[in-house]
Amino acid sequence: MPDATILDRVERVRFRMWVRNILRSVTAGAATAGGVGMIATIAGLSTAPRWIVAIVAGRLMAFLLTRSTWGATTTMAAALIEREAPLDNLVVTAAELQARPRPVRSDIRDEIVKQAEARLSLVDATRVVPLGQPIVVMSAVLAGAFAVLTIGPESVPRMPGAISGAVEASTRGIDRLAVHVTPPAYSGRPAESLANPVQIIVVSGSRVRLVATTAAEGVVAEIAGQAPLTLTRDAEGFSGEWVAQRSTAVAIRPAGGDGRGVKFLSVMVVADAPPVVRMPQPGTDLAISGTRGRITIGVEAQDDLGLASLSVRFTKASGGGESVTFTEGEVPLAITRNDGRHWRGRAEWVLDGLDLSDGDVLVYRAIARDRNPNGTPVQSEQYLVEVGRLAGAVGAGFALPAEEKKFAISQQMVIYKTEQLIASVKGKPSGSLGEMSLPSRSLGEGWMEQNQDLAIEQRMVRSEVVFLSGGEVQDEVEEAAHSHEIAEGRLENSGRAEMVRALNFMSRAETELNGGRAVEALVLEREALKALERAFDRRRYFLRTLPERSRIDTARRLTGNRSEARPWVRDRGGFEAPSNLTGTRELMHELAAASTVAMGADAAMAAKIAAIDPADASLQKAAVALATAADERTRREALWAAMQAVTAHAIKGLGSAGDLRLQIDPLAGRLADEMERSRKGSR
Amino acid sequence: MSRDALVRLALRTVAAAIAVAAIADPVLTVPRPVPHRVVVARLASANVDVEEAAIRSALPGADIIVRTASHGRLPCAPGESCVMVADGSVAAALPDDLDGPVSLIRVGTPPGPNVAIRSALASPAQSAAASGLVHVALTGTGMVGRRTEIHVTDGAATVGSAVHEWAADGEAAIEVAWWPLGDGPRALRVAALPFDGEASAIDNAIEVGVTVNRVRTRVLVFEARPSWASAFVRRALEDDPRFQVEHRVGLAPSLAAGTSGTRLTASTLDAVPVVVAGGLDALGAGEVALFERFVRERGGALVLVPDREISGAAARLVSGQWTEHLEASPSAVGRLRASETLRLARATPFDTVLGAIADRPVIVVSPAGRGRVAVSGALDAWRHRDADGGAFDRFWRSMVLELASAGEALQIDLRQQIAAAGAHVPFTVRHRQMETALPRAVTATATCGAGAAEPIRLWPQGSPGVFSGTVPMAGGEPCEIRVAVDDGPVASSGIAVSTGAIDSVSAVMRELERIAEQSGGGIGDRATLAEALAGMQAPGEAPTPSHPMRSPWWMSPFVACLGVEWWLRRRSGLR
Repeated sequence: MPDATILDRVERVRFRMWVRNILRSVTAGAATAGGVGMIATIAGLSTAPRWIVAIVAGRLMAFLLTRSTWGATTTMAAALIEREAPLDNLVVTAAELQARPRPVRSDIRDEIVKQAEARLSLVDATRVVPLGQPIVVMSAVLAGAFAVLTIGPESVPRMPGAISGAVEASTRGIDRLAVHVTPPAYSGRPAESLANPVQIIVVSGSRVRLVATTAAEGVVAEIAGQAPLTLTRDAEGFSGEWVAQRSTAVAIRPAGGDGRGVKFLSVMVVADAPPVVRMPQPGTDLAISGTRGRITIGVEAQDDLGLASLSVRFTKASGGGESVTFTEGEVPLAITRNDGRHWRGRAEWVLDGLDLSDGDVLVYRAIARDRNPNGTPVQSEQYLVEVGRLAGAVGAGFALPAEEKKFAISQQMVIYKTEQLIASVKGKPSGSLGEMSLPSRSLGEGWMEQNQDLAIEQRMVRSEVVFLSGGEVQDEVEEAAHSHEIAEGRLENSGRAEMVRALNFMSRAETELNGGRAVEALVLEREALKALERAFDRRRYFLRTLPERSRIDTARRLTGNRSEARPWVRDRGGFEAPSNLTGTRELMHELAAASTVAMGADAAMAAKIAAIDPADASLQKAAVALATAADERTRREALWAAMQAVTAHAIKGLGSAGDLRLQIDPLAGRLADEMERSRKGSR
Repeated sequence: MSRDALVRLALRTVAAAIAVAAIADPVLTVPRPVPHRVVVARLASANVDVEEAAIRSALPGADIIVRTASHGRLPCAPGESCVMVADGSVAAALPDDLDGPVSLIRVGTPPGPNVAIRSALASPAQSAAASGLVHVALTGTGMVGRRTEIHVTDGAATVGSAVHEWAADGEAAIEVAWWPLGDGPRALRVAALPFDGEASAIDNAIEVGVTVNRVRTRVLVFEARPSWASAFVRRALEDDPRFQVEHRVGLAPSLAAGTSGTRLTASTLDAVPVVVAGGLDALGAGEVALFERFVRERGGALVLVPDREISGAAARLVSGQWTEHLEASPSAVGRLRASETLRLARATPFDTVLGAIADRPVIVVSPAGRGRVAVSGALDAWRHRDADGGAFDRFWRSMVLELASAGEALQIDLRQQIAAAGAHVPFTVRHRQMETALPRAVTATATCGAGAAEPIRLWPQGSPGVFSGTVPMAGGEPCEIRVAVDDGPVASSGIAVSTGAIDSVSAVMRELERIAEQSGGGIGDRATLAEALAGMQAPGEAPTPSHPMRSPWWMSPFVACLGVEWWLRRRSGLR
């Protein structure tokens, strides 16, 4: 029998042969999978089926090869050793004797074993069956197969004649599109470059530069809403640029193309928003009794891109009647910049140096400006500081309510001051609310004086309302419509009646105030306010005998040309059928056709969708979805969504549907007439 | 005579008798059993093999023939027993000559959540310059928490869509806005998108026929004196391209302004379907008489827009007691808002109330004679015309459009706006005029697809000015009908061609049940099939004419007689 040492060595070689066969089978399987995957990709299979087909083919190949090379025997291993290092067939003989024992003289067998063992000691199994190279090859092939299966169909040239609506690479099409966006300098945003984008969002005023790489002879960018942009050839390819002021859709077409190879780009323009500025502190109008004091002002401002300046300015109104003088000034402001877009300001406004006098009024507001050189300054809501004894009659520093309806609010102010006056004497022994109707002399001369001051204010408000009755006509149509009511004396339902009622209440309130009866006056003041609100709620307008706009200019009499006289034609304010309705209908037909034959849904169609209304976000979204659809399923979904977006846009632009339904029975009239006749006859 | 001779003579006689009888071909009447032929009309899109097998086992010995419906008619002939196996997806009409009982076997919907379209209604005429509405009625079972997407498609294009969230099972009404893709007859497919696990999808779609046109509705606004109430109604109509508004306003006793050709005469009123009248207190008796004729005889629609209580001659135009109410703040009156209102004491059953305050009608449409009178008691609704996103304009446009559709001088009433290819669609033409005694010639043509206009014969009906005709939907293309009156108006309408169901499953099943009940047939389902077919007995024996001499077996005795006679002669030595 062969010696165990010889058999061990041969077995080691046999094991390495087995490992090598496995490696080779895996390599062949991976190569097969890669090849099948490539074919599947070209055929247009999606990712999951492509992987399944490739793996099944690879495993089958590996299995077949493994089966065919599985039976590496000891004899084969011995033969391989003999081939590597000539051993005079001693190892083969020894292996044969082990595999198929036969009668051999013991001295001969011993000699064979001895010589074989001696020579085998010189043989290296790693050299007989090297495994390094198969491992490297297998790794490379596996990586290649994985790469082939991972890469999408868009990277692989298509089989000629394959039906697909995808954007196809073509020697005449746009092979690559680079978009360089340079925002306006004031925005502080960096320029950016994008490769093959479908949609970009830019700040208004950004410079958009297109660079197209193509084998075509020229490229034209069709920009919705403006003239086509012809790209000129330069070192990078074809390039052109424009300044994006509003959202648009761009179809970039190679010259001489038949509509294929078009690139679509949706440009969404974000306008530079004006700054927002507010004054949370004090946030109300103020009244101060003296001419000195200090007001704390807090300002907040923010902008979408960045603020340039923030200030608080005031106007002082001095004097009265026809001799009012106005003085402008600025309040020193300490600004805290949280970042470039959010600023806070704080000021301690000392009034001492403003040379104020009793009755003066200060109007102040915050003004913010952003970095856009074409932007306009934005100012906050204006607040008022009334200076003087009258303003502080009841107590210094009370706030005035916001002014919405001038006359109603003025009356409200009288009510407010009356309430404050009553509240100020609540603490006095004889000043309880229930005792207010008692002779007011017990409250002193101050009480009567304050009542009379309020009576003056009430008279002022009343005079303003009286003036309003003869005020300017704001809408002649409304006034004309109201005129017949006046003629018919139907004042009980008109705003004018409420106005008269309000004047009556005001007069009575004034009388009560002059008598020092603030509580009774308060009831009448409130009635007057209610009447005023009712009058304004009816939105009535009141006629002056000859409105300013209708006065006859005698200087122009007989100076006109009668031949130019034309009848008045009212401007129609209603809707007209959208001018691009025909185009929208044609596009809808194209979308419908594309949804049935799965062709034509490409970037060119996406550009048409986006061009319907570049400002419509849903249309832009649908266009982008269509332009980026990668497979048949997503393309169909994008077409479906595009049809819905176009439909929604069209319905919005068309006249409203008749949503009223009348049941029209042709015999009902005859029957009703007959019943009416019989009813009258029975009487 | 020998015995052989006698035999030969007898044989010759028999052969001759057979020949003579064959030439005479006598007819005999004998009672014979009649074969029981049963036609199973397959009116279902689902598999009905089980029902057909059950019918075979329920009618042993019957000759079962399975047919499908063609051209929308039941595939049964006179003398055949007819059994309809239907699930409501296929409609079929009863042939006029079918006199036997027709039974119905219903194929039910499998249990599970289901949504079905019960009906879909759209205005038959649609302006190309406006969007339209389809009113869809749905029925949902097991749909709580689900959502149903409704799509309106014109061909392959989606022209409208809406979504309904089901809060409870039962019925739901949805309005789907759509926009016209082209002119002429259009078949709109209204479909509720099926969802995974839905019990049945055969009830998810219906087709609706609509004719898209560019006709502008003519409206005359007549103001006896300037009135803001009617002026703002006129403005609402003028701002819409669907209307062609003409107006006339009386400024003084002998002074009027407006568009040309609007003097109030019979011919002026003949040309317009709707008149909007304002400044009613200034209307004269002659004008009121013309308006009465316009409504009662001509069949037009008169819209009265008062701005104060209706008095004077115009009071004849309205029925019922109207009283004026003034309020401090405006209230909702239907889709309008008003603080000054005229309210009707009580509406009649014929009135359509479009707005009311405290159960007192304010905006009312009343039939009168052949026409209609609409009264808007919302006196100062025009003051609030900008409220609710222009509800004032929408209301008046919608109401005038509806009234105009019934007030046209020449109208085409189609039995259906959509039909299957090959169907014959009947229609009625009505011509109304102010001068009823004036006879006019009325002609009609039909243009189907790109073909030439074919004349349609019109048959006078009982009433003057009323004619009927039929349009054959040949070639499977939409047809446009055009009717013209000599020196008078022209009207047109269209019929679209359906490719799917026109009626809902429930409506089809109701119609099939009606056919079965009227014919005396039974109605059942798979479980009650035997009872439903119980009345379908074999017809028994019937006297049947017979020609006995036409049997080929007569040749055997005939040849045998002649052959034996020849053999006997040869045996006797004769030739």
